[in-house]
Amino acid sequence: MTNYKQYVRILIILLVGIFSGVCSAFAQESQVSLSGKILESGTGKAIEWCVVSVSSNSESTITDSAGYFTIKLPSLNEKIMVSYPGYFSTELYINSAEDIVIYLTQITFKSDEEEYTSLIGTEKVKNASNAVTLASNAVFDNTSASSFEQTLNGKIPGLHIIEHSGMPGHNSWINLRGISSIFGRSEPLVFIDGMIHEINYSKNQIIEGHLLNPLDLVDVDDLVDISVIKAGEGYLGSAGSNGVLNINTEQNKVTSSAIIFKMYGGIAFPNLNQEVMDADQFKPYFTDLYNSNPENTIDINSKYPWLNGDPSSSTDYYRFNNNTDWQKEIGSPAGLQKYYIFIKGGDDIATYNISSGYSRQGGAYDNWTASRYNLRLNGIINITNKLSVVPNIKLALSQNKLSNMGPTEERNPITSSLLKPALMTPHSRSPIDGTYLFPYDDAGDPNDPFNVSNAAVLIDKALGQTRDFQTVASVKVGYAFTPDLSIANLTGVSVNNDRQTIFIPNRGVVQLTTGIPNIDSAFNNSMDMTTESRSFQNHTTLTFKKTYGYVHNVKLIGGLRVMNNQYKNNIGISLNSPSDEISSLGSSDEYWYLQSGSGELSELKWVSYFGDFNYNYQEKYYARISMSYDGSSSFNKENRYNFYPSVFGAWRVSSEEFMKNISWINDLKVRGSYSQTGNMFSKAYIMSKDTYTGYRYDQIGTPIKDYITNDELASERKSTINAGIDISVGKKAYNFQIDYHHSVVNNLIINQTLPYQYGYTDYLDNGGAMTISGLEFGANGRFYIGKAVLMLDAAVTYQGSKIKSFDFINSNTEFLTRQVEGAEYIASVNNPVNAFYGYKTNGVYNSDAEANGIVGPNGKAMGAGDVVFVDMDGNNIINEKDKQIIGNPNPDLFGSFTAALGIKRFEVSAVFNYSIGNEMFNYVRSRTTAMDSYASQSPDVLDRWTPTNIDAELPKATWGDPNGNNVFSDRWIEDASFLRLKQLMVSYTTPNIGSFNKETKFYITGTNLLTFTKYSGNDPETMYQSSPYYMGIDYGKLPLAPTVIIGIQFSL
Amino acid sequence: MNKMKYIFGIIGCSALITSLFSSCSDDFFEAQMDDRISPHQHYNTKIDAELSQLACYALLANVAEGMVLVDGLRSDQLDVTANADNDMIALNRHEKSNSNTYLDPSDFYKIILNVNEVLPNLQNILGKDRDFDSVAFKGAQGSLITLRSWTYYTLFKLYGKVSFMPTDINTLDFSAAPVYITDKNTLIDTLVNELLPFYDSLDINRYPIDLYALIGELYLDKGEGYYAEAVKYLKLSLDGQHYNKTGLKGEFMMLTAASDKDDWAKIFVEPLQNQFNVGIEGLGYNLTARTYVPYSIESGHKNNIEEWMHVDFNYMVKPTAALIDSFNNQKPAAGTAIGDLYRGYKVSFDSSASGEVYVNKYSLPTQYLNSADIIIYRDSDLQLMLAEALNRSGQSSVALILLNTGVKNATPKPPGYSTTMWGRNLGVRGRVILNPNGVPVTIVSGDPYVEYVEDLIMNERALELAFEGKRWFDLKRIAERRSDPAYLLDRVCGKFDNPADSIEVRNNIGSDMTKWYISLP
Repeated sequence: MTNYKQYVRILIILLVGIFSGVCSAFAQESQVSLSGKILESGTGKAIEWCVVSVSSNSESTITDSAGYFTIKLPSLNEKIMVSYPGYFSTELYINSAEDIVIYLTQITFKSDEEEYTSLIGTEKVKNASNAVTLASNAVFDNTSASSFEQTLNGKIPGLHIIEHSGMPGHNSWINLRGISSIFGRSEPLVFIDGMIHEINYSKNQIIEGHLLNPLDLVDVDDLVDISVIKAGEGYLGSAGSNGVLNINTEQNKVTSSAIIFKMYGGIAFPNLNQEVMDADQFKPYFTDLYNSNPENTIDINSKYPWLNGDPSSSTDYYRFNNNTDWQKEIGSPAGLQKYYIFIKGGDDIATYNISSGYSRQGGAYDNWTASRYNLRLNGIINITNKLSVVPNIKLALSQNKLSNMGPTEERNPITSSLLKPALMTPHSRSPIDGTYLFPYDDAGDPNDPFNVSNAAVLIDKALGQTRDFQTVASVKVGYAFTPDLSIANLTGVSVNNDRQTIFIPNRGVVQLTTGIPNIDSAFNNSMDMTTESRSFQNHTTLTFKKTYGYVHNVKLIGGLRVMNNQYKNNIGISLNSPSDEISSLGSSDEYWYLQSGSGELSELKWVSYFGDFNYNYQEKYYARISMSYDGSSSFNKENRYNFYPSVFGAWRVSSEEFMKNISWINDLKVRGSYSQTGNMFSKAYIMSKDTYTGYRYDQIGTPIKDYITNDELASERKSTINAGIDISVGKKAYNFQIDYHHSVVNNLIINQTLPYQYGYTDYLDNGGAMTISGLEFGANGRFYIGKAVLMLDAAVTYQGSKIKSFDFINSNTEFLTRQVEGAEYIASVNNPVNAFYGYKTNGVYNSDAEANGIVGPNGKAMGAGDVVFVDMDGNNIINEKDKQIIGNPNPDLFGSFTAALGIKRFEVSAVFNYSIGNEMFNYVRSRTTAMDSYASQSPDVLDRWTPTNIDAELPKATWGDPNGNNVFSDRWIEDASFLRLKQLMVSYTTPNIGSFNKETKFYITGTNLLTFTKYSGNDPETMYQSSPYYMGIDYGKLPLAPTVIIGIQFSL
Repeated sequence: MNKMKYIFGIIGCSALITSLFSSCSDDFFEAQMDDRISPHQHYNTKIDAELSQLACYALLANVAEGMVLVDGLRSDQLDVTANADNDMIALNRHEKSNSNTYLDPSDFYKIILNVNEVLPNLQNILGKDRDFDSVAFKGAQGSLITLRSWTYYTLFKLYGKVSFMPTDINTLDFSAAPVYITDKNTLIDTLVNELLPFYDSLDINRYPIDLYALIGELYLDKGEGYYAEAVKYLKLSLDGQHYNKTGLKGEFMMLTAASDKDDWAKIFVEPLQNQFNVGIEGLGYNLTARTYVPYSIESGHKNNIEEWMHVDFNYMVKPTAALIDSFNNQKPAAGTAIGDLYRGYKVSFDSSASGEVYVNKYSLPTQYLNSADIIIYRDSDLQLMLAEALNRSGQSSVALILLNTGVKNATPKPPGYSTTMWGRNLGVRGRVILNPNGVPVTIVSGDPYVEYVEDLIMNERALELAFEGKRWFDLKRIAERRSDPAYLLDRVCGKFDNPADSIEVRNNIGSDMTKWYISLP
């Protein structure tokens, strides 16, 4: 409390100081005359009838046919305003120039006159002193993306987006300027119309590989723009470490009425294209592997008589003599459709916007769908000319049907389709004449040596469903005391409920072990999870904005923000229901211990006091201070309140005298900032609270300590410097933005291993530091070729995070490792937080003599045909100490380039995105070249080591892999760089038809049509979960599907 | 218009004030964190004190099963099968290894840390709940300190050194080098001094871990000069009205005579024909277990022993041939059958249809799946320790009475064992109806006599307490007492059929008794 009072006192002193400084305003009476011309940006065509005005003396004039104007104004320090319909209005200081040229940009193109939105109001991009990129309307047009972040993929310098999979409705990894934490969050804070939208609560899942997408709340057609604020959100304090995505859907600035109707329909094509063995290739491989298993004493032909090709040999002949392309069985073209309507209207007193949409998109198979219904209502009610109310309601209902797509290959249709031998078929066949029968073929039964799930069952009979209900309601009340001073209060709640249900049938699916003794397998399995995330928020801002002496622009903001988030989930699991037709939770086996439930409950409360002081002189020199003092329930009392300052400066070089003669530079601005932010979003902070957890002991619930409290645990703290240049040249047709940033994250929370005497050996503390640096480049330009305009847009990002230091309690510890399914990551000093950690390999031993004396990773002597693991310490024993960094899942470079050609009413555009230098652990290939079970494999294994093929790439096939050839190693680390034709679009817009129709647009959009990559898996862009510790692992998810849609947009 | 302004003013100001006020208080920041509670929500009533005490005991479940396995493999009771993993093989062969996944010293220290967490907080309840008076307070303290002492002592027996943890866990300094106690007598003296204040002449408080039993065991281990003290405390623990008092309820109490494993129950209960306190729990026989660690799959804690040992599961370890022979060579007091009918075949061990011999002691009917409890102290253990102490303090004849047919059948009755309760004592062998074991007439007196009796007691402990985690400590105690490493080495190394293995393990153990400990990580 005392701290808070002191803080307010400081604020008041600062405010008063600035007021008194700038109030000594200039007062000038003399009049000067200014002449100049107004031209169209890029073409240099004169704009006639353009309005030029001066605010100080209310003079205004219009341009003549050559674009010339003359106007009187008090002094040459003045600001003039230029506006013309269809073009961005421009305000600029003429800076003593007597003859000026002003370029106006059409609103269909990018311009620094656009406004970006942040929590502290709107500001023109040209006046930004921090690193901001605005993604505006055009980015979201005519897309078939199921969620808007997909349309941003690569387009914003610094914003790294990885689409989890090709399944519509999936989440994406969104990261702005690098991974900034090990335990905490590295995703940006998302604001939607002023409300913080929690995109990160949905980390729990029961459908493997699926995360619900909280961004579904906003339909891509509802977006106006997204302001990506990359650095310096000092006023966001403990929430600001990972930048901000500010999403704006309000479309109520214009009062004219409009109705827009959009619809599209299209097809998504499956993209499952892995090479697999056919029946003829598989049979000899199977025989070879069978014979390598010392437990098999019976001759394979007498054990599996169906192998010999004689239908009368076995009743299983028809079951095992097929040639099925399993990938075709699970992939078939699927339909996409969407309907969307937008209505806006109103008058000076009140305006309203209503939009509603329904979309249904199929994955690569008709049983996989994502459908969604969106509704959005907002408006402005001007109760008096000082008081306005902005209500805003958004609602989204979505339903997804899909399959598990994770590392449990028994339940993953994609991996199963690759491992299931072509010999078998989806449906069972009559043993007598081979007629195809209705039931699906079983898997893993005693007669089936291959033990791979029937992929067709996994997509057809296995249920995976999510039902998600998101709603956000807010009211913003604004009151202007004077034209300069106003207050605004936004109060809102958001409630997200999600229900996930899965059912894995028994027939056709290989059983998993239960982990419960006596019950060695789960026959069928139903699971249900409900989650609820709620947030209450209140933001109050007091804004003072005034220009003194026409040249000193001051904007002061003070505010308070309160947030209370709650998250809860409940999971119910039940095993072994009576039949595959009974799939509900309550129907499991008589054994009560086959049912289990679990849940989670957490809360986050946050109070932030913030201030932002923004000053510029003639839009030439900018200075800004932004700060916050905030308290969060993440930290315990001693560390709860933190102060986060940031400072900014910018200099418009092009406004200086000495730049006057360089006419080809239309605008040149340099920016610099330093900011401090924190990261309160981490579960690790629970370790700072002294707590007990319930422990059930002999029918009695007892409280027990479950960790050693670290009461000194403090917020991770990120300090960032940013330097940037904005340049606009060639009649403002070519714009460039370059940013360099360097951050140091101090107080990095790391896990420690305590000496055994402390009982609890796992402990977290602020024991590390990391750095993040990056260089971002964004460019756009327009080229005029006859009547056509070619627009080019490019974004390049180079960035990397590195651990700077670790301070371990245990002096023998040098690095941190983290194991996930099938892989291991390492965080070590001077290396990325999430490098792959495993063995390096060097081919295969040609002979036993070569492997002489080497003990492999499983503690067995290696021999001919085994993998050569690099022995780092030269002790002839391959163990933990020989592991090293074998790859980096983070890209060196990523970005996009776009080319759009507009000819009359036609437009053709192509968007490419790319990622260079990121490596992928191809888990799927590690299974399809494992050669350790009777599952089918990639045809690559035909070139495996055998006594007659000693120069092979791949090791020998051995049942059960006793020598550990398949441990996590660089054998499956691949370069997953790619270049993708993300979107190709052709559109035609009709002129007005009759009196009611404004215009109609027809378009064809193709998405993910071409991908250039050396990566051997289905898709070089995939991610299992939104965590750095699942980055770069391909567990076999649905690849991004090539999609073609035909759409129409009809305006009234 | 003015009215609007007014209304807005009120709404705005109240919203601001509410948010300012609510946000400044610490209560506002009290956030829910899963199912956790903070200590100040907890320590308020006597029940809270009892629950916290139970919580500390609950942590024994983390170590008990490992102790059984590790003891069996290090001693002459268990051997590995082909299914054993590397850690088991290393334990069996006494290879020095830093990783031992079956017994983690931090699990013991976790008990100590929790005791240290609860002890100072008990003080806070004193003023809050009148039921929690000074007697209850002392009882709770005594119970926790007994548990802590047992844990330190067990740590020492396993690892050869302990470091006493500071009692205020909020001042832990991770960078401080640990201070170790490496001398057994220093440790025993420290522990006894901690325990004695809770010696309760009124005998009101008996703790889940018996204070007297622990003090008795400490004195017995301390050895020469302290046997009389050991006798005193061990006898106290068996005396009195609390003979059957156990702190907790265990799964095996649910085994009724109708159960298919009723033979198993006979290990722990008095034979029906000898019951002297009929009607406890209405089951018709007496439970002799004092302290045991309950496992309950219903509560999510399963006992892994069955998975390690039972032939239906992983079958990674098996009873040694020598132990099986020893069981099979016992002579019952009546009938013509040979073997230990109440403790041997089909009871402590069993064999599968294909002849694989496995430990059966922890097997329960399927509805008690993996929930067999593990015993820390039971009457036979204490009786045999008492016999050992008596033997060493010049009362070998009484020791033999307790070992064989008990006070009930002794004439004349030994002095001091005149209560009704002792009058019904059947002796350890008498209880399972085996012939008494005597000393050959050629050995008349002196050390050979005492040692012979001691050997008999040790052999009996091997059978009675088979697979209960006691054997290695027994062998080591005797070897140290007699300054004779061969006492342990001969027995442990005798379990290997291959002489080369036997020699190698003998070297691994070594004859330096100060190094007979598990290495610490």
